[in-house]
Amino acid sequence: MDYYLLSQLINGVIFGLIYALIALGLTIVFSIMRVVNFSHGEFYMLGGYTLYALTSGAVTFFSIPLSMPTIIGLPIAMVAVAIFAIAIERGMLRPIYTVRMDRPEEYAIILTFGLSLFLQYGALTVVGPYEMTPGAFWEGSKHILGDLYLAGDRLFATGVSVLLIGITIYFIYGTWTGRALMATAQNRVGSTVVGINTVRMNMIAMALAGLLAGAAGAAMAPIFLVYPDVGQIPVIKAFVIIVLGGMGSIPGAVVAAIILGIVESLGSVYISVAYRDVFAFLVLIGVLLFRPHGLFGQKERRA
Amino acid sequence: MLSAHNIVAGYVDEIDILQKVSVDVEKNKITSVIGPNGSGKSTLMRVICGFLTPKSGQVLWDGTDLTGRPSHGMAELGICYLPQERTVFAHLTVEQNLRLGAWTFRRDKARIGTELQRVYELFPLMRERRKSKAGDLSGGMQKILEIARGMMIKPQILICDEPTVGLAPIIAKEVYDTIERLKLDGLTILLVDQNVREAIRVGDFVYVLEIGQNKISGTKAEFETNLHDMIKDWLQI
Repeated sequence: MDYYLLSQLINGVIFGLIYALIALGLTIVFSIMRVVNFSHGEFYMLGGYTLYALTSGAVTFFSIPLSMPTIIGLPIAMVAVAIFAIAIERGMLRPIYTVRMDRPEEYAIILTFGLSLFLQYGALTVVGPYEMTPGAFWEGSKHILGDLYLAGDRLFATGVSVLLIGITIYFIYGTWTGRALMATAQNRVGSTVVGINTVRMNMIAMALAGLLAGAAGAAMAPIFLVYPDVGQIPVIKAFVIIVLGGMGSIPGAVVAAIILGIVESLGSVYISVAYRDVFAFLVLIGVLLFRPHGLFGQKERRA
Repeated sequence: MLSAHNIVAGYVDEIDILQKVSVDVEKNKITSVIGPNGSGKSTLMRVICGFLTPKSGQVLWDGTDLTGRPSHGMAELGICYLPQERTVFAHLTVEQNLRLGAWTFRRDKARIGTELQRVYELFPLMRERRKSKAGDLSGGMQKILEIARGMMIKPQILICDEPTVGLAPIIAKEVYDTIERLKLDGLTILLVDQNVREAIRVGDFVYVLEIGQNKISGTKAEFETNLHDMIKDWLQI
């Protein structure tokens, strides 16, 4: 195998892992709350802005400019976005499962869609349309093998993705809270009967989505910069990924994300870089033709 | 042991499904609630188990007031509710389902192990199928898995809402046998059923609801003699 192809494959896997980080939160919220969170991309954006505000020195706190190291800014940004996500769950989404209402899913879609626009234009009004560049996590470019060099920041983002995906998978499959989340996703009444507080599970799902999206937004900020609609393209890809992998499937999301990363990377080299963002949909259409419930999705059983 | 007093409840403001319904459940007995469709049997169970807050009335459990308590708190009190719909975790295995039944004492590893063994002894079929996905079991087996999962907490009372609806008669019999066996082990049971004959056969005490009100109640013996007339009476309404 020539180094060129290999380097493109590595590049694709790296992008895939980063996409997976964004898609995980989306799929977790969908499977547990049955809410399609259209504002997920704005959670990502908020992660980037929080990192910028904490580390760049442009923002002052009691007249002290905030310029903490980026590596400390990242976990703070994650927590900040998670708190924001919990606030959205408590303040806006909770009625869909605590109050008896007609068409709760539609309510949630309109709500998160509106929230997405509100946050984008809110950011535009408050900080303006400028692209902001937070400081690097890992300066310079690193030699991988042959003539393959990768930006340190990109490697850092990959490391963060792998770490957080690993922790999330352990959390879901290896802890009691994670099992309760799975149970809630599969049968809410059954979960309540065994004593699981499903309202709290919704909150945990949303917090998890905030942590992951916030981490992705912050880790990617030095690479892709930060601006009001920075979350748009990543979240569209995340939607493609979770449909591709099977709505609500965590392994599905990770595998689909990596497939998508590789296809994009090879497609833009061997076909045309202009179509980069189209490949996702080609793969999606191709897969859905043969597996309408996605790669790992389970067919609904009605019996 | 468990009693509901003058329950008034409904899902919308103007319509009361239950209009002052009272039920008393005695310890170590099977209490059956029967009645035609729409008489409010399931609604009554939902009120008792905290899934629906009554507009007035009270639910008492061993002297403590349960009214308005959250539904997820029932397991902790030793109340096991078996709703009418399927509640197994379809994509998890039988054993994972049973383990989730131990949610209220999840920190106590030793107890989970002993309860699991106890439940497997009570339901040997579950041990055989412990690696199967719950969703792959037959409808009757899923019902028995739900009962087995409920038994993980060693409940004091089992509240069954139409456990055999939609099951073939031979499998329904198995479910009734299971319920009777649990009663012999000292469990208190509140059973709601549309299957009048079975409900009276297994029940020690029977309540009849009709359009959200107590119609008649009495012991099994009283009902067995009058069953024929009663059913005739219902059909005329």
